[in-house]
Amino acid sequence: MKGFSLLEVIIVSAIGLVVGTFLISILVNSNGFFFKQGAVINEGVNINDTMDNLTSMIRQASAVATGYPEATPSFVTSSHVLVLKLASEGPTEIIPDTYDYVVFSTDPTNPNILRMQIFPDPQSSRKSTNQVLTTLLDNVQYKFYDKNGNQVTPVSASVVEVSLTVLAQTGQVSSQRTSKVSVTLRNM
Amino acid sequence: MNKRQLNKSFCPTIESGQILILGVIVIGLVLVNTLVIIGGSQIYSNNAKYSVEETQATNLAEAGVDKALASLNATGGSYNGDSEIQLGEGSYSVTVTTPDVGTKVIEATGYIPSKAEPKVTRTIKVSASKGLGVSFNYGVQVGEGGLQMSNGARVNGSIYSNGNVSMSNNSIVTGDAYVAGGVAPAPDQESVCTTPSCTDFVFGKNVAGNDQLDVAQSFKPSVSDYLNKISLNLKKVGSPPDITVRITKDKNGSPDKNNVIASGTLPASLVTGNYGFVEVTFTSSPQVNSGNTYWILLDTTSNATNYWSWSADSSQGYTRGAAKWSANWQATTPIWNSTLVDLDFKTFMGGTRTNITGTNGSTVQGDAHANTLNSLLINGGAYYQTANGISAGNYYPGSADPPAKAMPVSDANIQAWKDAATAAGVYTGNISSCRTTLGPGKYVGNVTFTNNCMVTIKDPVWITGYLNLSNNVVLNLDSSYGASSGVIVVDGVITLSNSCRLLGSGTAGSYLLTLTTYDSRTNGSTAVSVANSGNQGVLYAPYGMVVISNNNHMTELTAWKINLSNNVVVDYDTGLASSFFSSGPSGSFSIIKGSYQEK
Repeated sequence: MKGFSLLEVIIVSAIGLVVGTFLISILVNSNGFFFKQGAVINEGVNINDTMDNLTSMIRQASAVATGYPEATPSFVTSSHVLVLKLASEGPTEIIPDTYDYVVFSTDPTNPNILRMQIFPDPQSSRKSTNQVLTTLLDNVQYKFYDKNGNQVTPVSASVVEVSLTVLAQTGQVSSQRTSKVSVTLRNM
Repeated sequence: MNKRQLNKSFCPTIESGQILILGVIVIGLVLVNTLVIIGGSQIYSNNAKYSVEETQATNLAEAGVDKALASLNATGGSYNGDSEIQLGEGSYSVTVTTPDVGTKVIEATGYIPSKAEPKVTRTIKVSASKGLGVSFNYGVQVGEGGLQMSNGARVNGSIYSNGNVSMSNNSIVTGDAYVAGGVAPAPDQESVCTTPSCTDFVFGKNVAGNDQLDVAQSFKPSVSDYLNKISLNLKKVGSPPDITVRITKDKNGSPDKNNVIASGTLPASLVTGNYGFVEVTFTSSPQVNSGNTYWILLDTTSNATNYWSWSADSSQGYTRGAAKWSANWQATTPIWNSTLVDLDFKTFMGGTRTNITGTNGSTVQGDAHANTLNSLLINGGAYYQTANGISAGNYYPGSADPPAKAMPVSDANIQAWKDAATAAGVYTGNISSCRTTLGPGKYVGNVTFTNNCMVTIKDPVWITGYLNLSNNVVLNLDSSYGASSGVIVVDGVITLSNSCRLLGSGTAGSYLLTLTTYDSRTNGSTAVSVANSGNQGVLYAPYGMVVISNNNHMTELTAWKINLSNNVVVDYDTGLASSFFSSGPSGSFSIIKGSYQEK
């Protein structure tokens, strides 16, 4: 029986190595591109949905609260935590002098998770909520302005500026995206 | 012939190898990745487009609200909505309902791309009214006359006084107590036009090609002291927003934008369509020096339909200052132009050192703020400059005097209520027998109700004489008022005795404000007298003395001077902080603050 000659084996191995290298390179690049674009897509969807929630609540807020509960706060409004005071909703209309509180804060165990928690008044028809807005949080910053654009303390603010940065990372591949928006408190 | 030669002879084209298989696998993986990325991009594109369309739909709904307000004002409140109006890339619809007198509920929905086939909809609901919002933020608010509490009198809430507070014999304030730094009764500087020199200076809009947006009047104090409050003679056109009022130093004959020494807010609700002096106080009273020039600066934005007019003296009789206007006082190099008139204003400097004095177990359960605190039990913090014989939870010596507080209802507001009452009808003659309803209208004469009389009020009611209620009389607002409040204005004295009650409509947040313009400052007589237990209500006497005794239970008191004795209780209702009078001045619909909701 004749087998392959040494030269044939060497040539075939060399060709196989070259072609295989190209193929693996294509595969790796493709996978890298896939993960990066997947991260970009994930970030984009995350940031849009998170901002929609934030802006809707800020628009409806009567004021930025110092914290929640107001007397002995577990959450204190700062540049990274936002506590909003919204008029409580009855079955058909707003309940006067009664407020629900909405807290936007990072998860205490995982700083990449941004949560929205709603603490309604017992009379309110608004539901208590503890919702994860994003698991890709890199940074969130709140700034507080009056109607003339001067920076003020949170409780005096009629405009809240939100700057949200999300970061998706898989291995060495990462992608970061920032969105910034200023929202006026319509009920201030 | 071996097997290989045999294969080659029968299948000369078969070749061995695995690269093709590997190639197919890799290409397959790449194709799958590509398809997934394309799919994800599609999702992202749709998500981004949806976010944009959500914002567009929200903006369309807000456009619908604006349209509804403009239409309500244009039609005198008879606008009922629109089924669909195209705007830009979408459309909006509006529905308007009338839950009670003076209130409209507007529900506007934005659609992208259209109502018939919406991809995104957003609904906004607001309430609007043609009235006046007034904030009574304290259980008791007192002017320069001060507050006297004795013999177990109690305020369940906080008190704010521009004059001294005297508490004796176990009087209690459960909240905080504030006494403002003393205010001199007469203005230190003033400019008030007299006919025929009175003219208008319009600002907050473009006038003859000039953006007259920021306006300032300078003055030179005659004494060095705190500037506690100012008073400006203004009227408004339309519904302009609140104005930020600043006090600045002078730089080369114009306001110095880098030297703002105080700021305060002039609530637009205190100004009506007719001229009237409106008080402005500051977050902290600035110290001004005699002979130096300071500026009262009003900062507005341009609006062709909602702007201001300042009463002005064309003869420029005020010699210690001048008035100027600018398009932007905060520009890099602001340009100030002379108005060629003096603007009507008054400045009030600090007066005597004010104090809270307590004896015989009198207690402030919250914080106490005053220049001087004497013989007082304070459960919270004591904020003072001088203290004698006090016991407090915490001590804060060297604290600044609280600033003076303007009354929550202005003279212009009261005049507007009177005008509205006159427009509703004028009835001449004293009323001394019970009736089922009263108002709206002007009653020229005295009104006396006695002996279990129950009267339903439709406001505004203006009584030119006195109002005398005794023996279980109840005045209550008509139930159609819902959460809105109403007012009875009395020129003479108000007397309540023996379980008389002044009540709202029955809905939470509704109050019947009973107000007298009687001036106790000139003759020392009582403007409001409440005696013999069981009486209840919200009373207001901006220039009058209110005397309440003997186990009466009031909801809120605001007056120039107040005397509470013999177990009187003022039980502050927090709803008064956002009370709303549907018969108020201005006459234009505006959104009720706090009613904005997204559905």
